[in-house]
Amino acid sequence: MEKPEMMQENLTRPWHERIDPVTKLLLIAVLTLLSFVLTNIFAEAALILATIFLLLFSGKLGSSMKALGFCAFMILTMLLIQGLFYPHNETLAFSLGAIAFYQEGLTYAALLGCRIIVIVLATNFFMRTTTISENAKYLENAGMKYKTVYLLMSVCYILPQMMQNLKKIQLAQRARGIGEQKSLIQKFKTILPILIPLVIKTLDQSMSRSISLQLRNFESKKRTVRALRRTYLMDKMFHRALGLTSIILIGCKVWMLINK
Amino acid sequence: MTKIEINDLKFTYPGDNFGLKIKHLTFSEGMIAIIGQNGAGKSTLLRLLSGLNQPDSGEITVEGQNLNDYIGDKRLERIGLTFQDPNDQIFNATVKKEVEWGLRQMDKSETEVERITEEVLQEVGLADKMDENPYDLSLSERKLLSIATVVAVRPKILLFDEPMMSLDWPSRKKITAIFRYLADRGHVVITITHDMDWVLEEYEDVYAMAHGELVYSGKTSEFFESPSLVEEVGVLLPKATEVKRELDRYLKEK
Amino acid sequence: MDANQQIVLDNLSVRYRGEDEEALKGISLTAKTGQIIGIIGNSRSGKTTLCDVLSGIIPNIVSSHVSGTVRLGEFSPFEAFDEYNFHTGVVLQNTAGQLSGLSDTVFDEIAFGLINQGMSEEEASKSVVRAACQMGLEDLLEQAPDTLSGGQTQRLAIASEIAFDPEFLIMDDPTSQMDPVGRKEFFEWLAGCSEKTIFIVSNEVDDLCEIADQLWVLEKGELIASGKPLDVINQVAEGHDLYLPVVYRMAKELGKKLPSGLFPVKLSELKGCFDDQN
Repeated sequence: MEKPEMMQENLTRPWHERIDPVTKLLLIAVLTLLSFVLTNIFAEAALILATIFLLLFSGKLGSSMKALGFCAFMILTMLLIQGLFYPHNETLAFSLGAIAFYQEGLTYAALLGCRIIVIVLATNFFMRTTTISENAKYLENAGMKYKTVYLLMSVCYILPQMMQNLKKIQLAQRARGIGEQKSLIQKFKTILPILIPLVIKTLDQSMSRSISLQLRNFESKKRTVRALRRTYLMDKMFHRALGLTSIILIGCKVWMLINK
Repeated sequence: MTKIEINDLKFTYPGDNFGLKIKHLTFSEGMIAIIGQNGAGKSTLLRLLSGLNQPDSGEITVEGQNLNDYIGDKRLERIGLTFQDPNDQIFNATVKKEVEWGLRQMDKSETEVERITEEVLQEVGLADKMDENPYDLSLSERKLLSIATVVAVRPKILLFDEPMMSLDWPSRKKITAIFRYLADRGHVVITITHDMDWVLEEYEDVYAMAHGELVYSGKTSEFFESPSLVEEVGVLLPKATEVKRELDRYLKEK
Repeated sequence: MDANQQIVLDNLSVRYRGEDEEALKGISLTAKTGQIIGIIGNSRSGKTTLCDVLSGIIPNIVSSHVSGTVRLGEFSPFEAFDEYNFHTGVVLQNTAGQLSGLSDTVFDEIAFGLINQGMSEEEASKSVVRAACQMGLEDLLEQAPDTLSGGQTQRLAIASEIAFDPEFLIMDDPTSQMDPVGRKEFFEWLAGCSEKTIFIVSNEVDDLCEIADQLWVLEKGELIASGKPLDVINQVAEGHDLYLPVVYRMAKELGKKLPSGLFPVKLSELKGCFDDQN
């Protein structure tokens, strides 16, 4: 339905809503590739800064912090393991008692860590500034078959859905006597035994959803392609530019690997 | 004697303007029903009573102790809660394991865990589904299972959010019997329900909520005799009362 | 009777894959279309299975061993399912699982089925608003579906199905999460649905007795009674552990029978019992 207030909305919408979903997806690709092409830790830091600005200017930085917290745990473990056991470790960085940390391993882990942060933040930008239905509508308008769109969307959103289920199960566990878990190891211990039920629960939901979608004729050939209510800024141009950049970056990476 | 007392309780969900406000309220041992429309704050009150959410201000005390101190690290023995949607509650691979889960957190011997599990599943009528995956059960069977998990550990205070939802007649009778049994043995059994006939039949006292506040607490029969109260709370009369009334009116007209 | 105005179940049996026992055992009956048919029975009686067959989920989406015939008017779920599906609206027991998950608003969710059927957006918009008003959702159209309460989600699922005005509506316990007032409003709406054929599974036997034209009672996969609520309730009152309507119990207590010797199940019938004595 084309409602007057919707038309108005187009003009007053914030910038991040005026960029189309595919551009945002390509942006993730470019940023990810860039982080793999770069090998300098400072360049990586600049890349992180850029993604942080992206989130800051779209007002989504606060809500992305949780994801960063989760990354921090992974990165710390990597620093620890690589700092101690990286095969090319030579230069001593510092030592805690009898435990020696090496520069090469720490740098390597920091580089990997930066890449993870870039990917997580860029993905977060996409997830937080688009909605499932906006993405679906855009892709359908771009000529994709609705069934493919649906499959793509269910894959993209399976993780958030699992996180939601996990939260529910954790609440249920708390209600049934497991206290707030303070340490990460304790947290891990309570999550481990529920992994299988978590997957079953999520699958069960997907099953009933797929039954209902079939009942509701989502594969029908008669399906009306809904008009986009939103207009996007220079989407074609962005797609070409970012697509080309991605190809160049892939080329760079391949060339670097060959010449190693 | 387990006595729950609420004083000047205030609670608002973050980012939501809906608030719960209760000046004073006491619950003692026995069967207690909380009624009200969807969105009246019943489930929120239950959450606060379970200690899963903390009030913004005010206090909930049990036996004179602050609720959090009362729960301490003995949550299982002190408070049990079932959610409205049993799917949110179940996280084990089989029916049996689901019930055993709570028992295993306590210092119970293996034989005792087995005995209690079997007994409880017998009581709610799920004994023959013991090894099935909870997700293969029907919705009402899952509801029964979620109740069984709480009943099995026999906490002092039991909180149920619409336990009768989608249960059939034989199951309703079983659940009523279980509640009665627990109430007679000194447990506090607090239930949110939309089934007014059940409230009238089984509950001497009723607590009615509307717009986040407690509107009535007292005798069930008196509540349903006051048309203005029933309207304020936004519930309906029990069918039995309604039919009786309609009939009386009809006979008087004649 | 015109065959196109008949509901026919003939020797319908269903056995799930990997199960030994049949979930439905040789169900046979005929009924007129355009009626409200209440389906009652205890847990594991086969109510949900019957709904799944009537909606065509079994065997078209979930495969099972099915035998016998099912025909609603000129359509059969076993023959041309797409065509059948086009004429039937289905509200599943697990309403939250029924939502498409692809809609940002209640409006879009109700429109989903209409758009799938190829309706234009303007036309769909009208149907959406009409269906939303019938279910009392008109003020929630711009809200996100996952922020709704259980009762509201059930009303949304119903609105999504009635939006495309199906001839047959199949609902599995659609009021379980509604509060008393919401449930009452739903049954009042249902009573006014005169031209549709409606199959409804519910535990609200009192309400069904007031508004249903037919009651079908299932027990352990078998049909143990079918017909007018008055006859059916009187038939199953003894020997089955089923909920009996308040009116029936009260009439029995007062010893009030209808001239036919049956105890009434509807308020109007109970009132009638008192007329006869004058």
